[in-house]
Amino acid sequence: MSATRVLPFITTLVMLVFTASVLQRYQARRKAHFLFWGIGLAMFGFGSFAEAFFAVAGWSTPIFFGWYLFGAALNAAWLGHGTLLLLNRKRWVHVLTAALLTGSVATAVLMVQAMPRIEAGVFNPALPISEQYGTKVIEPGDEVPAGAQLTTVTYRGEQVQVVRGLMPLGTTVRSVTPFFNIYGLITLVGGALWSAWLFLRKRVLPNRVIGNVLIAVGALVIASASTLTRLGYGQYLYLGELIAATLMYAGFVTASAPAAEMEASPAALPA
Amino acid sequence: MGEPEERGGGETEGRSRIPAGSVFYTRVVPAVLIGLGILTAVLIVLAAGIALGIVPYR
Repeated sequence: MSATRVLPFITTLVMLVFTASVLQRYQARRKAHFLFWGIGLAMFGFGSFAEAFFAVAGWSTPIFFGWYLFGAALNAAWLGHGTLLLLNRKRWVHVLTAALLTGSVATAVLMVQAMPRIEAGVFNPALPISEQYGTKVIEPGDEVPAGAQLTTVTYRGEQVQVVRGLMPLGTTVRSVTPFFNIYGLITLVGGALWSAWLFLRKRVLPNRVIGNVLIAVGALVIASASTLTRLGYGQYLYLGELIAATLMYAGFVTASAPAAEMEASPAALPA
Repeated sequence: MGEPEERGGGETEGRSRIPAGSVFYTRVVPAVLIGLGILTAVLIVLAAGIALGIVPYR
């Protein structure tokens, strides 16, 4: 069985457990940041579920809609906004909450508008969806992937040769995705690094220092894999998702561990 | 996700302390944090380049 089929299944399982843990916390404590994290994690999990679905069951238009909207466009921003809500409860954060909600709805509308132009006939179940969702312009000297469907299209008044992808050149929703991901990167990774630094400076709760470092590393792994995908190297996305999901969950569990357990050895020493 | 200040700074006192003189916490972790911060900045610049059309994407 190929990695294309196996990795998204494992990632989906990790994300299912992770999402359930966070939503349980929201249910118990009713804090908004847990809700945003839970929704962001569910979006991430849906993305990996969609990849598993494509590998096993083949093409599905609604699943692709969810894969791009939740898995590629929105999840990082929702996760990062959860971190911002935790770190800062000032009024301007609520303005950003409104902006995120509005932006998410607008992106969903753009995705709805993009769907009639999706070229489902291009779909190849043997390839990761991350390697075939975008139409790639072939520049002179570029290597054409084996089995790629080449065609010539008119784009911005020019004739360009392209490897056909599911989303045609110039699909508007693709141009807004980086803004969500930049916001998610700044808030999620920045927030985790800032939190780790605060605990380090106060010299308390080493589990939260390590937990936040793991979360930051996990988030950077998926950010790097997503950026590579955007640049045309989609073969690393599935592995990146699994590493990111595992590291972030490990970070969450480590940071959430009761402090008393972390200091079990020193506490056991006689005074 | 690490819940930094949720219980307030004062309540963290005396619960679990970073060992004094630990090379891991005084040297390794700060270096890792700086490295991750630099990588974050690089990714932000790259993503901004993509968003603004400066870095071509396919």
